[in-house]
Amino acid sequence: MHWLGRVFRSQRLSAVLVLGVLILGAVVAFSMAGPAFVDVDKALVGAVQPSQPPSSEFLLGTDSQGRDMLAVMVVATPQTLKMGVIAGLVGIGIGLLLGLLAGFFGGPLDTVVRVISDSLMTVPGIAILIIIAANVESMSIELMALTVASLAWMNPTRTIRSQVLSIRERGYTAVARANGQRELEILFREIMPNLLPYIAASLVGAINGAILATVGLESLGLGADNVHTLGTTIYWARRYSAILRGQWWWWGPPIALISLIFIGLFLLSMGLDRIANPTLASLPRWRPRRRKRRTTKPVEQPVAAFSANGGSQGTQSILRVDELLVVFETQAGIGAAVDGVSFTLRPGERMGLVGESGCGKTTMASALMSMIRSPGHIDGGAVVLAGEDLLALRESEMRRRRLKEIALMPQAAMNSLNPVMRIRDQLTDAILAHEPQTSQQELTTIITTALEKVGLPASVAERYPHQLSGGMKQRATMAIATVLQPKLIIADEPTSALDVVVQRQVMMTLARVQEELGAATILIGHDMGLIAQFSDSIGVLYAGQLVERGDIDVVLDGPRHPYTRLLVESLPDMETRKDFVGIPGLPPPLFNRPAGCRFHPRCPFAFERCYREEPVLQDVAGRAVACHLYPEHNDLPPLPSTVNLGNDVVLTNGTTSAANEVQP
Amino acid sequence: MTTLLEVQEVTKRFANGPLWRRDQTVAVDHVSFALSSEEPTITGVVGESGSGKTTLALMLLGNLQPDEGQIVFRGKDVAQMSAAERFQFRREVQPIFQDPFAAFNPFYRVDHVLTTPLDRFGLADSTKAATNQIHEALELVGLRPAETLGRFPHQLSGGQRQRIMVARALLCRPKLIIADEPVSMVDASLRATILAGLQTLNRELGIAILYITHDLTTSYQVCDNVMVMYAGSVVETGAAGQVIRRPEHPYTQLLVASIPSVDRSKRWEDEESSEPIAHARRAITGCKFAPRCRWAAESCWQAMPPLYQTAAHRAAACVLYEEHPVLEGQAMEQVFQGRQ
Repeated sequence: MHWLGRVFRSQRLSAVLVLGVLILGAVVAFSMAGPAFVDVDKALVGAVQPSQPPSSEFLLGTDSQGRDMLAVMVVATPQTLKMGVIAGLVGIGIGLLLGLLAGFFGGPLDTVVRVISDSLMTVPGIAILIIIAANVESMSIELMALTVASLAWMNPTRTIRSQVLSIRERGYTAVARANGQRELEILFREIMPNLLPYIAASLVGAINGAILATVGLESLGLGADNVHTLGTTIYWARRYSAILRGQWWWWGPPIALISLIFIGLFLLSMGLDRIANPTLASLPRWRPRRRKRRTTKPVEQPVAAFSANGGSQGTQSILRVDELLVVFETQAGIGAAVDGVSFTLRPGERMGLVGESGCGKTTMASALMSMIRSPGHIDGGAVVLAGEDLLALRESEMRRRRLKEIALMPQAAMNSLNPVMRIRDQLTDAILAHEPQTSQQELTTIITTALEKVGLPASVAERYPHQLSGGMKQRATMAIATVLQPKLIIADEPTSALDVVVQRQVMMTLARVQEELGAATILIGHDMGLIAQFSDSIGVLYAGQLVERGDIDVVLDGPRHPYTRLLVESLPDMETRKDFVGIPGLPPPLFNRPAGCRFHPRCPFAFERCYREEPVLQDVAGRAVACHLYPEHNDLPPLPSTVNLGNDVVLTNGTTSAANEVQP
Repeated sequence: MTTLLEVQEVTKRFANGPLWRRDQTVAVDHVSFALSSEEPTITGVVGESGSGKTTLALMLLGNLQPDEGQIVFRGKDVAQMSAAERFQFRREVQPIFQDPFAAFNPFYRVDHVLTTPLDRFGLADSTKAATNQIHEALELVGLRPAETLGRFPHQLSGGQRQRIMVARALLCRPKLIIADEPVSMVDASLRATILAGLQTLNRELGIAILYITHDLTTSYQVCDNVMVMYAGSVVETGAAGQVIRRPEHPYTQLLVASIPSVDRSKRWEDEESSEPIAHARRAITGCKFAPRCRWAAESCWQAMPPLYQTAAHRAAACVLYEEHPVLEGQAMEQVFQGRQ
């Protein structure tokens, strides 16, 4: 089964998984190899000396019937394992089949399965087991296993059903239909393989549960008749007062074996769980927490903090970001998502921060808010807002600055509203967290004004988020972000989920509110058009570094960095229909960035120096640019006529087109 | 003209709300158009969320039954097709979906979605023929087979995945491709290659394409004709260049004015009054756009205006143009133009 290997592909075998397999392997090996060393038949009959403690002749002693305990263990262990495996397989098998069919086909089948499984789940399973076990004559191992299984299928049914429901709606089942695959084929070839790790984990869990349940029953004397299992051995030990008599060799070995099986299966299911939920495996590498306590440096002239007009100015800026460094450290590697970014912002300035996905825009926003989560951390630099380095603050101090000094309108902001709180209560919470003395009357006034400012009627305060349209929700988050009149607003793609008409209205409102507050604003986005409409200045991020920064009109009038130019040109315009222009290739992955200029593999102008030397920001034509073309050149040269960029696209005189397309 | 696809007065309603306050939303409201099979074109369906464009796409793919009207593909009513005809129809009308990440089963290499259609529809005689077809299709959308095949979806970018999806549709040898927002989840810098791939399919292989999008700019770049939808109805239609560069319907005008342009000389004008609080989705007797229209007059609230043919290749459903003749049968193909 070649695909089975794929389930576990690229998963480094975790220590727990290996340990679990080793323990179980030892138990199985013991019961398989045992008969070779112990004369099982003879030993079981007994008639040797009864109740002997362990000796060289009987390694585990004998019971009161004179049976060799080692032989009993060799016989009992596989019986217990067999019972657990049968019960687990049958239980999960039923659950898998019903869950798959109910989830995929829905309708009446789904309803019937759900009603039955839900009602059975309310019945106390162990009580049913006891009743059945106590009343069935001549109970066998298999019957015992089936009894346990009949009460163990409901949970897997429910979980698998809900998993299938979520996958059924996923795009690839629709693609499979378009590819001509039939429904059952989709269920078994497309959906089920993705459930395998989960199925394996729950199978192991079910085996474990079944073993514990049967051992429990058996030790009460409710087990299969005339069979040695680990549970019945405990029962007989109890019956003959082995515990009182201090005959530990009678009850000790079965308990030890059960414990080993339990631990082995537990570790195994834990290891499988990690494969089923990759998020558990991508936990950060453990590292001692080192909280940076840097002292606030006196405001000194930063080396390369470029403001919008190209010069470096330190004094009248509201925000100065200085060599900001955000490092992500995971098992996959170490990389700087924000790598030495410096810039300044005047009070009231609107800056657009632009770049492709994966260039560090959102990480930048979180870093400014001091909200970088593990596995990332801020590794250096300063974020000086109104003369105060935010990165040097304690978390408790920073919490007081958020919203009041610096506010974030996050991406998909509509989801950042609390769905079970009225807008009024969400605003109230925000205000009281910072100004607890505010009276009810003042609150009402503040809230009404805040909502009015963002173009919402006061009645919106009494509504829940789900009662609002997308644009209104975005306005509500804007009201929360601005109600405490912060000095800096960071808007991270605030309109990416909105329609174009609503987007324009929301952005115009943001522009007005920002102007009234006099707050500086950083608008993060990948839509160059939106940035152009909103911003006074622009910063272009590539692979964690600022590559061009300057006044918006200056930069858009003639971008000097090749990346900026290609970004602008990749936007289709409404003036002329022309060939499509794109940027070939992709931004480099975080953990594998090229040496020299990070853009060189995609750059049509790259020359030898770009491969080895990292460019720094320098003044070029009224803005800052990090590119080796300067200062030798004044402007970007015209695009080379045909450059094969080594990726999958050929660049042809200002246009990119499919590699094999012949240019006339 | 011989018609490939004919959509006649197609309507779809959805019921919503609790039983005692059932509301009906008209998702698609009497839409009629036809696509020629002689000169296959790229036709844009443009609208915001809730305009009914995705519902229309689902009906054209045969995944959703219209409540009224019919969809006729190559002379056969889709609703009356036999199982065999339906299987053939499924091959000939291929979708490309919005999300290039969800479209791939993470369990399989990307080859899986390319070999499956050849196998299921019996389009390749041998493994070698299948491999050749796959290589050709990938190269046509600008991908190098050697760098694409044998990989898992997560090893490729959104743009590359979406181009594989275009190649997949191509392998089915379709007559019509319905591309529902194929580039909206892809970085702007990567959109170009996908759209160029769609254009190649249309221009060089003669596959008709219905390009469903909210983005007027890209539809202007790729489409021959467009229909602008609002609340289930087509409010403006015709040659893409004319409709988008000189919109006539107030809604299209609003849409075009809202596009953020990189050109700083075309700044957005002043903030408008915010959008209507409760977006009127209930059946309005008059023009659906009237509640948001700055030109709305008394007559706009009386009846939904029909499409008026304002020029050879355009029509708008607005009383501002009522001196023009009503488009006969409201069938939009009359104003569609050929390839541009």
